Amino acid sequence: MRAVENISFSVEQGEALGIAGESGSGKSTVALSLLRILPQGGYIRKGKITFQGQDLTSLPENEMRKIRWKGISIVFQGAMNAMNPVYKVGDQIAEAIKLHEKGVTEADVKERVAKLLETVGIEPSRANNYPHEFSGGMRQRALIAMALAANPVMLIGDEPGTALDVIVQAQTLRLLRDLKDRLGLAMILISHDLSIIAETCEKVAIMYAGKIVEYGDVVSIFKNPLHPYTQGLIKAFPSIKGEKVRLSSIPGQPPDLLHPPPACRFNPRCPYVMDVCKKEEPLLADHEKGHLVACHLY
Amino acid sequence: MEPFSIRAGNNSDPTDLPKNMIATEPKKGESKKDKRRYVRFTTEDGGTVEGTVSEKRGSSKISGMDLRFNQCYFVEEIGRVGRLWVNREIRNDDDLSADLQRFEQITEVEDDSKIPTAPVVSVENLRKWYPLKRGFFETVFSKEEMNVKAVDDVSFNLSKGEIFALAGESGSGKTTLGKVVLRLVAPSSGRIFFLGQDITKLSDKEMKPLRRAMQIVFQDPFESLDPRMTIKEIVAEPLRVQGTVEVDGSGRPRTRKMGEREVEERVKKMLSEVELVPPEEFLYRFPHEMSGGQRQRVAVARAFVLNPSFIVADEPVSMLDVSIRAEIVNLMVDLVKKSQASILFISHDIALAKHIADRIAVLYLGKMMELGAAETLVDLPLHPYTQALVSAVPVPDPESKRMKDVISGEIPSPVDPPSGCRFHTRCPYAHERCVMEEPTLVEVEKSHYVACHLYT
Repeated sequence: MRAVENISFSVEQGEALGIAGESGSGKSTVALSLLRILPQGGYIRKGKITFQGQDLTSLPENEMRKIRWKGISIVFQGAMNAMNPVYKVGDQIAEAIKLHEKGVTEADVKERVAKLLETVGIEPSRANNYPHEFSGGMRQRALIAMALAANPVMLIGDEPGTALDVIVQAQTLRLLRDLKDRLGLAMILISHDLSIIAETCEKVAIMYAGKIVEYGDVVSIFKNPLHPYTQGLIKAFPSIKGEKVRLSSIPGQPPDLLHPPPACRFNPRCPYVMDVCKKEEPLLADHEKGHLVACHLY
Repeated sequence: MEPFSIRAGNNSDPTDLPKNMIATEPKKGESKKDKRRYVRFTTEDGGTVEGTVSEKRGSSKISGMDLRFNQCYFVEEIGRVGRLWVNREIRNDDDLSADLQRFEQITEVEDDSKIPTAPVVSVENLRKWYPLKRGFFETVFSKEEMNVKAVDDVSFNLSKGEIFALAGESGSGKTTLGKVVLRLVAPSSGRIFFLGQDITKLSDKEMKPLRRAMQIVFQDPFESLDPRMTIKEIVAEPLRVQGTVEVDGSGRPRTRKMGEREVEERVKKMLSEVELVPPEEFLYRFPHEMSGGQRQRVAVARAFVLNPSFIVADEPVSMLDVSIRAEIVNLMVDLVKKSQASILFISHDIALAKHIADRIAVLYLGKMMELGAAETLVDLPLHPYTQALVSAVPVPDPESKRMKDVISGEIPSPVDPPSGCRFHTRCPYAHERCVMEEPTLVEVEKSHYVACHLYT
């Protein structure tokens, strides 16, 4: 199965890229590939991942381990299960520091943990608590603190805040945005929720069935969505503002990646489908000033 | 509708009315001269009576109504009686028909639509407390009882065909409330009325025939459908359990088991209604052969197949992809319109609730904070908590970056909720009174209720 095919994007320092798509669109696979932590059996067949001038796909495993956490760090979804329940939160963060920096003193580590917790808005004395003593939002914050333990250059958020309530989710996203600005992090935010991306990212890549169908800066994508899938997705979100309306949806089902539709993968659900869409695959092409779209309409 | 009170008085005189009576002014378009009034009052034994009252020479009167009765009987659909909801004990049919004749005199209404419909579901001061498990020593040495106050003193009515949304964060008690209303868990106190009948204390056996009319759609279609049953069996199960109701020669309803062919016909019809077409193609599939959206359609079909009058939908679309969410929501809205069922729509997504619900109730730590028409409540929220909830919702518009304030903190533990107003620990407008005194839900604008000291 080809989970992700022919994808290109770039992220600068202090910039956030949002990757949006439905479940099964391959957005999490992209994140796992960047860190080379694909599940067993999964591998990168082709392509290059350049991180600070180095190609990550060709690095030996022991070199790659230095990149993880120190170079690129990830915050997983599901704040509830991502921590070890039998270790204190502070110790789990300390473990990450000790692993990545040889020869740090115990006192140093302690201070760093306290500082990290403070950065994410947790009372440093709570380092002695176990994860179950934390609320959902605090666990999510602690996970972010842990991801920042080795001062990474880039942070990947895989559906951060998805399992949390709106208010806590808003707090988490606000924290991520602040951290990005304050620490100058490069960030990739993976989410099925377009509104989250609209509020936190500068660039967006919309994925459908393992491919990027539209790519560009956040304003032009939301103000002028070109791909019919993006248009449908934006319309499918009930907006808290404006008139009460009947919700609109994209008819049909997300495709089965074992047997993807031929040519344009969106053609069975597309309202503007033409003959060419079933014969020829559209390429991601520049429509206007960095706004790329893969659709025969353009 | 501005309530006005009518004096309480001596029970032996039928023109005297019992305590706590409220009556409503004539509805819009109805002249003041129209003598009919809609009333609702509590009787001495704690029951509720609703009905229309005609005024005769200045004295309010419910003619001939005996108020000692203690059961509700819903007489909505009998002839010209109109919708009258009374507390009474029906001993036999003679009693009933004699009473109905008497009611007929007082409710001769030319236009049925002028009388408000009695609620399908009515909940009064409902509480669900879960006692906290404690160790042996604590039990012995500490007198104080600890309870998780999942639902604490909630009241609302659901009218026919209405979509009523319950919104709130996790831990606000919305799911518990849904389960209690269906009597899937027993309430700790308070009363639940279903079609005028008090179901608070009914046994499981007494509940069973009512279950036909009350159904539920769960959140996760991957867990709520039995993986070993075919779609046909899943949708047919309620039909097999409940049978079908027919009216026999003497006009009495009878439950009858359904034949195999009849069951299949009903299942097929239901599947086409949820747009699983052609139904033949889906009958013998198993849940794992279907996508999440299709499975949720099956769950909806199962809930609607008995033509229920009330459905609890507990986060029915939150597990689904955004692009197919709208389809399922629209499907449910259409089915509700067609069948005139009422829905209690539980959702943490207040933006979604705004677009599909008629009214929204916002829950916080088991208490109702605000209740109002969906659009008004979201566009002009009154309670600081509702305001926080609405402003936390992400907007798919990059130019309105969320620079607005997000309230801090998280929902506190329902074991030991904050004193006074439960929201005061997070409220930006909290003052002394909020810590001391619990605000009650009051109507501050027409049909817009809020429990906050800022408005009293």
